[in-house]
Amino acid sequence: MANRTIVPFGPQHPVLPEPIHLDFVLEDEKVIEAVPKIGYVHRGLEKLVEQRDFNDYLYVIERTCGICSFMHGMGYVEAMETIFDTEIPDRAKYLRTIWAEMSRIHSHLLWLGLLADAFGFEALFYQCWRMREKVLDMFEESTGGRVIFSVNKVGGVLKDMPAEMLAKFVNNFNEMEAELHKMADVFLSDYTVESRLRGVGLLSRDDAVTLGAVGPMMRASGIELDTRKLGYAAYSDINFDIITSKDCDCYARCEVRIKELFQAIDIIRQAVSKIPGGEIATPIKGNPKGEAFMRVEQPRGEAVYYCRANGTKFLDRARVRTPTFTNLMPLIHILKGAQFADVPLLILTIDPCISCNER
Amino acid sequence: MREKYVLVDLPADMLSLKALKAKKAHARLVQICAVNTETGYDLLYSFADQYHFVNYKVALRRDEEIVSISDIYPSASFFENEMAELFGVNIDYINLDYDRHLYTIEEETPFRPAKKEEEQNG
Repeated sequence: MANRTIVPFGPQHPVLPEPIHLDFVLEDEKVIEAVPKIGYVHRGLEKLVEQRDFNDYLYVIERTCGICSFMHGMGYVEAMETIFDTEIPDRAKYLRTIWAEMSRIHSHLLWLGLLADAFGFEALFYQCWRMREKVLDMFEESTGGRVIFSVNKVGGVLKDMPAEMLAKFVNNFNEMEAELHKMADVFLSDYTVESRLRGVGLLSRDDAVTLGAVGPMMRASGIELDTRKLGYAAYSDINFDIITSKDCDCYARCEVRIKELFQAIDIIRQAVSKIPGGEIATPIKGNPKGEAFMRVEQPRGEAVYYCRANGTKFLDRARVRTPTFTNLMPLIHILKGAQFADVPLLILTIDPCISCNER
Repeated sequence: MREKYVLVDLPADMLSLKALKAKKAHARLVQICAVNTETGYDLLYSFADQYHFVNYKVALRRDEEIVSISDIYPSASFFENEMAELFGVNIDYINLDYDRHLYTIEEETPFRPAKKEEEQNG
């Protein structure tokens, strides 16, 4: 008869980038049950909307996450612009698109580095993070920040990128693309990497829908859905295909994210070639009244913003549903039946952001 | 381009039926959240069938209860636990019930307006 044990895992653990606790019921080395416990970094950011006016609150919502800070700001201001029924200048839409795709690249490179670290490929980890630094340098040059950028505002953006800077960035990404091909080859073809990722953490298409998976987690289960296709920012002017995989395992999730890196570079190239001149913001007058939903495709998946305004400068509610929050249930599902040694990989496979999750 | 979505009011007793219909149509549960109102809460349930985004607004008094949809959509559990813990919404039969201890916070129902304010609003 199998030996049944309960193993507490986290919240502080070498393989966990952020605090989450899981209680595993094991039969020998097989996970039978996984019960998560979150709540170690709950900051009450949504509550702060009662004390900050709708413009100041942008700086709070950007701090939901250090990786997706631009995306959080963009989702919030787009929701507010819906309430104001304001159309922002086209140049601002393109600038948002470029920064959003730069965010995707640095987020995916961060995740790939952590994945490489989790299966013990240190050199690959360093290569991923070395390339990520170049993206952060470009963020610093264009926004002044490396983590929190604060370039969004309700009605547009606060900073412009001159043509020379955009040309330089495209050049940088062209050079990075060649390096990325070499790195992608290791992730997707190296047999030691494949042996850790293939057939591990299977999430079927039906389970992905029922359990609420989003982003690369969902697309790796064969679901062709990408919120960018809704056409927010300048995505309605950009040509891109949705990247999916039918393998439904950790390898598929890695493959989808790697292909999205190349796609993001292509989107930046398209956006730079099409960006119009003109203003970067429209003045907003008065206080907001009404309610709006906004969905954006963050690197980790679909994020949902809901704002309700009462005609004063303080909102009644600002709500963020982050991708990790809804990817937790699929995580519990794929952990059941897994080998205990694969647990770190499976946790990483959803690209967890616990501070995002708890807000 | 701005997303066009549906936002409709729904009586609380119709919620499970709508959730079942959404599940049958292979729609995803996108999110659930609560908003304080003068008399109680608005609970917002969002579903998406591919890009078709439908939201139901369920108005609930503070002393009323609502049945969980986590039997239909397991992913509803975390949303419902969050609403119960932060707003004090009374939700029955949550599959994975943390009994208002999802987060490690000192204050009970911190998002709920203070009692005085509730009494003023009747």
